[in-house]
Amino acid sequence: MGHDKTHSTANINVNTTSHSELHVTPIMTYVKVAGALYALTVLTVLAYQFRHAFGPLAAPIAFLIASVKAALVLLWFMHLKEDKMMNRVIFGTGFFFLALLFAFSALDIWTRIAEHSTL
Amino acid sequence: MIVPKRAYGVVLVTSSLTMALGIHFLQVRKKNQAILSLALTVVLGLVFMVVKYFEYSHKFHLGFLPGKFLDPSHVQAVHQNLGLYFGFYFCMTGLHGIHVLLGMGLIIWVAIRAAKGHFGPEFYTPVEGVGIFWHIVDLIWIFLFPLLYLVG
Repeated sequence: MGHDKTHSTANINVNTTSHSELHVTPIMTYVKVAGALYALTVLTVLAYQFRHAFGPLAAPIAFLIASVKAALVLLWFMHLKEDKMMNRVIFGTGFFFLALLFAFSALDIWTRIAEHSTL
Repeated sequence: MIVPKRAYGVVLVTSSLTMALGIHFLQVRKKNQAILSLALTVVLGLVFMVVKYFEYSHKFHLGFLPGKFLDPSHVQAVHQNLGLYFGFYFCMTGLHGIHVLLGMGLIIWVAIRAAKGHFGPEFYTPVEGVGIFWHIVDLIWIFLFPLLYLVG
């Protein structure tokens, strides 16, 4: 109990560190991200030229490249990289419900029984 | 080569860059550069919509319309389901286009407020919010491009 004074001093020192610092992304970072996005667009078009060689993998490859582009936009342009954890969770929730929507749509299509009209 | 001509989505990528730069310039108190970046973003959005207009006109001209409106005389026997594809095509690109127009309006709004000196390093939340909206519109196009123009 005699150590109360030292404790409160320590607390004050901890509380002085600010939690609302302004994050300014350098211009070069934005330019590099945009450069990567252009390069990936070129890659998408290039992959399209070889779509016959890729066969059924052509579409997943195209969407994989798109996902990398999406990650770049989300992390740097939308500042998710330097954002609070809570905002990332909120963002993730959106994708969770999108995945849920896709999952149920896919289930519907996969479990359909082919029926021919009698009319 | 028809694909590179269709890859005009790079216009939106560039507009995302100028949008991000607009916020950067507000953070470092460079008001004029910020307004210029935001104006450039609106111009690039407009370029995207003009290309969209020519693309739609071309499709209308060929009779490539959704569902029962599809002109069968332009379609070979293997493509009889093209009406379904164009239903998706016009709904998805149309809804995206409406969001581009909305975004352009919002950017004009924050640009005017920036010109009035409402924003600086201490407060730029509306610009950040509009920026996030603009980036998500760009993000949707990143997926619509392979979906409708390459895979579809």
